[in-house]
Amino acid sequence: MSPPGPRIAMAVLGKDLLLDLRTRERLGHMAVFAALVVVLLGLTLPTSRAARSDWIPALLWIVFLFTSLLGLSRSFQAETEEGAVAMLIQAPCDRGWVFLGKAAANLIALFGIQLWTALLFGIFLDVDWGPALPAALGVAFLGAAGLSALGSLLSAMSMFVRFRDFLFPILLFPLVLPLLVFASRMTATALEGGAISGLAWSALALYDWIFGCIGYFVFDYVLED
Amino acid sequence: MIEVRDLEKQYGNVLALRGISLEIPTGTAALVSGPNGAGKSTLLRILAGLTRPTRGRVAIDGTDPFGKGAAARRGRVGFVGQELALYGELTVEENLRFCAQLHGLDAAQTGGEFDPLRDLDLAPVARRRVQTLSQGYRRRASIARALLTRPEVLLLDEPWNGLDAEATRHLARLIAREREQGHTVVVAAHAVAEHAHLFNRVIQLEAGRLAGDGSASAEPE
Amino acid sequence: METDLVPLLRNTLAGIIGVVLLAWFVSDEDRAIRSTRVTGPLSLILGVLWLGMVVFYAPIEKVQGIVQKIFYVHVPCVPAAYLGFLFTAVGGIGYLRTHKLSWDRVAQSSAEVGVLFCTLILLSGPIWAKPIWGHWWVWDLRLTSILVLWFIYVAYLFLRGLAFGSDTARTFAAIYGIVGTAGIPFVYYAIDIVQGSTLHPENPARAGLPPEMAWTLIVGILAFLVFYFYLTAQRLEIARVEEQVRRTLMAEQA
Repeated sequence: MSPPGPRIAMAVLGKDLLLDLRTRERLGHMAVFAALVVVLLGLTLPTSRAARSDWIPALLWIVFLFTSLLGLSRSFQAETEEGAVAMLIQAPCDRGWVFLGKAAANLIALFGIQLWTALLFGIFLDVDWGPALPAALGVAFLGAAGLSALGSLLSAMSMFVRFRDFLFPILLFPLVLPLLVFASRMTATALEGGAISGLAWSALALYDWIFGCIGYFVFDYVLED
Repeated sequence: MIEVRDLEKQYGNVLALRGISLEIPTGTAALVSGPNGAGKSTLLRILAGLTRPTRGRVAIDGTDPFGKGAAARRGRVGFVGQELALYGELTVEENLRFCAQLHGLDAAQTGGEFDPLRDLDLAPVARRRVQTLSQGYRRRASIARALLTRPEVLLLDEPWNGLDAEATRHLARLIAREREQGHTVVVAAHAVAEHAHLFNRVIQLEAGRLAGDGSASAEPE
Repeated sequence: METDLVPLLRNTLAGIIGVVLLAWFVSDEDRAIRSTRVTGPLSLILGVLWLGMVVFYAPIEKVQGIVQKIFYVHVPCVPAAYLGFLFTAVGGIGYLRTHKLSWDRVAQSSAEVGVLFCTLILLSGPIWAKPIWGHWWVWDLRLTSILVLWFIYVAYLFLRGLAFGSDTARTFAAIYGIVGTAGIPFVYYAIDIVQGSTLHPENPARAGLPPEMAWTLIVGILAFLVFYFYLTAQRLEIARVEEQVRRTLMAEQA
């Protein structure tokens, strides 16, 4: 009697959250890194709020992308250190569920970091989230979802490869370009108080869906070496 | 029954296996021996479904570990490799619980007639992180992880590495018990002589080829 | 809207049939490699014809002057580049499904030749853009999407290079080829949002290109497509020989 896939995904998710809470290195590292970059920005950007405001959405997402990069490339480190990935490979289900579990754990971590980055932007860079908050949260969530789907797949791939720290961003960046464009534009619209079009929401959601599906279907091959 | 036909595995410019064919009937305790780099580990990893062969095929009780329907049967093969396949940051108990969850086993089921913590004397260290354990305890924890799903085929890669005398006796009892239960045990090791009595078949590999195959010189009493 | 839908469906259908036919064609490696006997001479003939037409037949454009002739190099590269990336994905899917090395070689050869054509587009574009648009680089939809494509497939080749020769490398390359191709429509749409409109001239067929220019362009596209197949098949043969050499060397190590 093997358990259905969703339960295996939940087990993987639970294990990853436990690991994140246990070591706290991954989250702490990301949080400090984001804070450092925001402080650097605060000191290097033009001081007038008006001159800054045009840059804010793009900078928010660039900071978030680089911070996520740190977390995502760590995501499979615990799996390779003592060959623990063998447990995942021998899970009695379609390994796509393992992927969904890993991606969900990354999504929670990245969404948390996203909120933290937004908070830092509010404090240090004077960004007034106020009325834009609900829409901006939606964009943040969908953006984090797309990044964790693609990032989980690519970081799993780069873990078996030499120079993985060097390869991972090169693999990731060209493919997350559309996500960054969608998300930063949508955040900009939200901050200006405009309504985000249904088309923009669906483009971002479709992006998440497509790469989530590809990850689900090809993960079987990724885990074999 | 383990069937292996024309198995080849290529890593970059190296052929780790160069066409191996063999059959291991159910209930056999087989020792795969040979010098370093003979392909022992690769063979075991392929049998465990961890490494996909470049050519050739494998079947365990008629199921190809890389084919359709393999997923549901993955719990029937237990594998202890040279790596522990445990999370160093988690405790022994947490690791075993995670593995049980993956295979849909409740804590109750694992605590019954078979208790990996008790059988391998892991109880005193159950709540310690794997990272902080001694080499011997780590290996035992890894073996407990592999036995958790009550596999019918047990694959052990160099299991004697880092074991003290006590743990070695433990392992011998364990292999004997698996045989009594009619399970198949395949062990890869380069040191043969001292443990040969545990096995009824010795398969020798050399440079990725089968160099010898026969019943062990010393049958168990 | 309705009038647009029919040609769209027709083109999509034609595209699918084309891909299936071509996939069938490359599914037999020997057949693909033998085809160089035809595509080799043919690309030479078409190439000479194309060059002759560019120099002697196509008129000098009144507004842009002689620079406009780069157009006959720039545009024909585009279908060849896209075809290269399409076959990287086709080869990748084929490899994941069958684990046959020949599919992996199709993906690899196609990606390399695709990157070559992509590089030509990226080099010829700015040479044209500087005198015509006044800037070396313009964040134009088509040019930028080709640039992103180039990055994706250079990353693909990096991945291949770093995980050389093993089954893992082939599997990962196949997956990245598929992921990369799936990303192309999003890249295109994203740049469309940023740019708002394209600076590129309309589709020549609709823009009423003079017949001499149109014919030169069509011969150019044909020549480059045939050349794409020739180069890919040649690369395929080299990859197969490499594999044979590697196997021979490995067998001798024993």
